[in-house]
Amino acid sequence: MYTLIASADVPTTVTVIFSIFLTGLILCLALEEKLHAKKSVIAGSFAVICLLAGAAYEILPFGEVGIPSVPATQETDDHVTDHSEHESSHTVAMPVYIPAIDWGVIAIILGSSIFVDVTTKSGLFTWIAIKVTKASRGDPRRLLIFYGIMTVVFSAVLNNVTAMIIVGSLTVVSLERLGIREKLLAFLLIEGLLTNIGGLLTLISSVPNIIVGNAAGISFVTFFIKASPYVVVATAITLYLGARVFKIDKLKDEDEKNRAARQVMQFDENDGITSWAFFRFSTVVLCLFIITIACTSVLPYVKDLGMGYVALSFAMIMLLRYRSTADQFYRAVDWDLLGFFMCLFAVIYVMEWAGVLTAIGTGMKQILVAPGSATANARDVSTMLVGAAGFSSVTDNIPLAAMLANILEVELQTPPESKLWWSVIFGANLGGNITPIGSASTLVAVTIMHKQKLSMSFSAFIKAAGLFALVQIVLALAYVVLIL
Amino acid sequence: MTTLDNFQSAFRAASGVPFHPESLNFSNIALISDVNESVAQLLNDQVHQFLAAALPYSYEISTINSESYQSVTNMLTAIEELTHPASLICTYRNLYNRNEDLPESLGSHVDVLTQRVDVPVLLLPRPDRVDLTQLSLKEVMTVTNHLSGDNHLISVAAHFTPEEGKLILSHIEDETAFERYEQAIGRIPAIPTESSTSAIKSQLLHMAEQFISSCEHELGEQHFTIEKHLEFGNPLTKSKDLCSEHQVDLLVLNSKDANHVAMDGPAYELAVEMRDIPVLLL
Repeated sequence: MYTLIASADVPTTVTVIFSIFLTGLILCLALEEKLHAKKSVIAGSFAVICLLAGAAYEILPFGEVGIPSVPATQETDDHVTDHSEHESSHTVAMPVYIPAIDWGVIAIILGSSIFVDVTTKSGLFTWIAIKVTKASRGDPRRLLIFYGIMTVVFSAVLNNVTAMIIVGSLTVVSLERLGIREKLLAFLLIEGLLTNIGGLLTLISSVPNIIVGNAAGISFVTFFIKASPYVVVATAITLYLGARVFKIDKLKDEDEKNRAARQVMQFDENDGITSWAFFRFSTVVLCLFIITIACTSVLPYVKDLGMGYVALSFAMIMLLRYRSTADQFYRAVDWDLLGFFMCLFAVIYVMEWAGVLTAIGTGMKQILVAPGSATANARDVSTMLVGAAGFSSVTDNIPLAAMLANILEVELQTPPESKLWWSVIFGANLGGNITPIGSASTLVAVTIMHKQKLSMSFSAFIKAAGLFALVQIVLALAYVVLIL
Repeated sequence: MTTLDNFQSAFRAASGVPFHPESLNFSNIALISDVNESVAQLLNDQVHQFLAAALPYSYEISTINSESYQSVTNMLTAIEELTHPASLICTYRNLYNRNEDLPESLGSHVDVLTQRVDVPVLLLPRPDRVDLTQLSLKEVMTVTNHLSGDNHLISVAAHFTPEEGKLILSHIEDETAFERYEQAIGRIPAIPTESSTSAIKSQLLHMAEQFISSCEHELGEQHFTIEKHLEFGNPLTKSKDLCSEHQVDLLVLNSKDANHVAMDGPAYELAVEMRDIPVLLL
């Protein structure tokens, strides 16, 4: 999507001014809760200011946008189709901020969001969740393991926040039923941490993956093959540590085991299913969705249309079931998140033209030894991973991922096979486990804790999650440096 | 995005309310009457015959008759002074009002008794009105508007249901009370009236149904059938209809309310109206 932009003519003072805007945006996003402002409003406000300032300082590329006439394709690594070699036969007038937005990312998020919402209505996820609960037979240790695995899988297939909402709500109900509410805080904390590990499993599991993966040209299958071993090991270690630290033990007494089993067997997994036909249909379509997304880079025609098209198409297929009331799902879309992305992309676009990203890239070149090399050295990988994790823990990982993706691709010309891309991916995801504001899903976990009157302050979270985050990041470092 | 509350509601709905059967034993029964010793002994035999179907184990019936008490206070004292504390009290309405079996009242002795003792009170039909030897115990029915989670009510009712008998679990939601809520919901713009009232109605009965499923599961080995009746309506009218439709032999009701000393309203209405069948008041 990005082409090399000549920002060398931009005066230093202009770059400094826009750096201040960027810092302001990042700070405001970090203080989102304190400001009582939605992300989209924060990003939107800064987008308005930056675009106006960009126009005033005459740094923005106003003018018509060229549309290629001959749809010959030139394939890059996996799925990106490059038309840039062809002359445009016609141009189109459009606002300067429209090409700034990565509409592929927007399409993936919008399509997946509607798809997941409609599929949820079939009762499929609650059915799976209750089946898993019953399989545990109420044993706390087994329940933790099963819920942990379910969290990772749901995070990978749905998104982190939805996964945390589903598993978190079920955890509250099932632990209350089992009479082990004192373990609720531990369960919710571990599940919150696992959402960010599950968010590493596939290309579409989290937004940083989509942004960075797209920029690096990493396909769905490649992403899965490279990330899954880490996810499996990190999940196992997190569950093991969680069980040890929070003393979540197996039931020993036969009477206790029978009583616990009787309690969970009372759950009725079929309770929420209003239409078995739609349930079966959703199951089939979900499987098809995952397969199609995985094969997007090899499917004829679909590979040119991209993953966003796949996500939107499957959303439309599911909406056929609710064709007369589709508007209820449009209302339920997280427009704040989509608005945030669009405004964020606009801000980053302006920053690009203002030379801010070039300046950051130059700074990074001072720190990194060989960022443009296909075989990034261990020091660069560690610096990037730890740096990304650190930033991601205190501010939103999406602007971080968006900026770093741009810098690595454009400024540092990092090749697609470089491990630096993976450093950003791992760092952006795992950083969310260090603080409660590091990721939306851990924020949901803390929200559930507070709703259940469980005390978990900012510092208490860091203290409780610190060991887990440290182990996960160290493991990621070793994995990226030595294995990937 | 689907909210936390949506999923929590879905899981709570799926979790149901489990039935936990209670272990009960009614081995010491007190029979309170307003007749002399010899007549009381006859009554004793009749009660024994009535309860034999449901209580196959040995139990002892102690009589408290007109020779032991007259006033309510003396009656309570006599109960306290029993050699073995009673686990069940049998009596009939309008004690010491034999000449006036007032249909609108249970009499002061029973009014106070049901609220002061912690054990169930089996209110038999008056012996001068119904021949107790003709009473059988095959079909037992519980009546409540809050069946879900009432382990004690179901446990006691199941205890008194004989083998090959039938236990009818009825849950009657008060339609008049619900209409008031419907009207209130209808005046709140933020809540869609039709869908929400329909959902609430359906969920109230569904919760009771889930509880009954749990009862069926737990009581499966008891060798009696369980039948359910779940509906909205006037609790008193519907209960009377069910009693006559099923030829109920024993009605089991909750009679206490933690918020006041009087007998729980619906229980009192039914106990007063059902003069010809035994009513077990908890």
